[in-house]
Amino acid sequence: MSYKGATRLYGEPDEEYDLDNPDDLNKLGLASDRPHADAYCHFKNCKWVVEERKGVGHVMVALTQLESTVRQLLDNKRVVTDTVIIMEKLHYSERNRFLVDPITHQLRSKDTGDNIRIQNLQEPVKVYFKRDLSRIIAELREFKWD
Amino acid sequence: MGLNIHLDQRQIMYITPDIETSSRLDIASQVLAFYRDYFTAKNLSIWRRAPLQSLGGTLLRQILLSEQIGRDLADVKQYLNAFSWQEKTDLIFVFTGEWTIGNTKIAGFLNIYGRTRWSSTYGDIELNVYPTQDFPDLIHLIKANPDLEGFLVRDFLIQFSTIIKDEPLKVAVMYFGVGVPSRYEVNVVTGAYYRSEDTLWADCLRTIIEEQGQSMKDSFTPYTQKFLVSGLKGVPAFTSFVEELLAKHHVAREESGSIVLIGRNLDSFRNFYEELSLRVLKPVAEELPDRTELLERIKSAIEGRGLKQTKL
Repeated sequence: MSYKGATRLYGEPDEEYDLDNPDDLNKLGLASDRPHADAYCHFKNCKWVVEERKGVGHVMVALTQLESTVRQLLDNKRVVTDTVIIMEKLHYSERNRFLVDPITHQLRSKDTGDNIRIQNLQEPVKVYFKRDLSRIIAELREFKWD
Repeated sequence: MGLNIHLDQRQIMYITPDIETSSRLDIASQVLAFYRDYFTAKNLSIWRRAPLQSLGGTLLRQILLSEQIGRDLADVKQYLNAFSWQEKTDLIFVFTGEWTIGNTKIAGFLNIYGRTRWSSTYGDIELNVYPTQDFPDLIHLIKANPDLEGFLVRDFLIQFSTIIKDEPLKVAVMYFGVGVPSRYEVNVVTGAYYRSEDTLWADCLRTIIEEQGQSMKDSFTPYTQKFLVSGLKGVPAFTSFVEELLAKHHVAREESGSIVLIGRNLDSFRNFYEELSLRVLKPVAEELPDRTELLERIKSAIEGRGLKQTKL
């Protein structure tokens, strides 16, 4: 999963920032010494997505990165509609804390059963597993967003 | 995973949540002091229930840290006096700051999970970087600067339990590794401190159970971990085999009593563990009468004495 920028979930983005690139961080006014996600982009279906990629876990750190990025972007008058984590699989030690709905891909807390939602966003955090990614992208494309 | 520390009480004595919270903060400040030339903690956030709003956590207080972290923590302890014992067990402390190693600067954190439910998943104290494409874990950053590896990994693992020897809480296990913190995944560890050798073998057994799933669980479930570990240690050939294995896979053993193991490469522990698992632990699991077999023996022992089940 070694690539820069955003995953093409809804086709080619028309605006894209690679948050591991200091220039892109500067453009967005994000602090380099605060946690940040891997990518921020706008798709033609009007979704502004913040994306974090992981191998196996660590969900807590991924959420910290998403929360911090979203907070900074919103403070800087940017728009965010969706947050996604793309990962290989949930680590077994995290399976007693989190679950991923296999239909909606929403991340849930096992303690409360609630969807996990970043403050000020309507959409819950979604988790896409790498092994399902091509199928999910194909399904999302069928909606003919553009 | 970065650096992960599991704490416990060495003596059978009651430690109040006040003392426990204070001890965790002191131990964390010692970690920060050890790494002060490389990690600068800038902020401390005190959370209730979870360390994130998205996980239902409540941010109670955020403190900008000065260069005198000891003084800041004294203020924090003062602030915590207003909390009940119950409330204290629900607190999580998050230090955020910046790592500077070589020419690389990268955001990082030290979390104290305390007695919250998160500690069963992530351990007591976790020190790491916020991952980037180039440095997904603290250990990758350290490995990129081999001159510092001896101090940042080896010296820490050897010295730290002595540094905090007067604390009511003691180090049970510390390890550096990659991925999600899990002491039961010996194969992703790159350096480790075990207070006793038994802990290492117990963690290896738990690793193989978690990794291999139900069949291994069925083999080992009827036996206590202590029994299995003493069984392994009671075989002289096992000890010499392990020594050979450690040397073969470039895992250096630094001390006896408590033990410190340092892998030369990222995959040294994995190779050591895989061979140990293949040549010792799996054969042991196969040879031991498993759960079903033991239940069958109990059944036939009872029925052999003329006792038959006549009704539910």
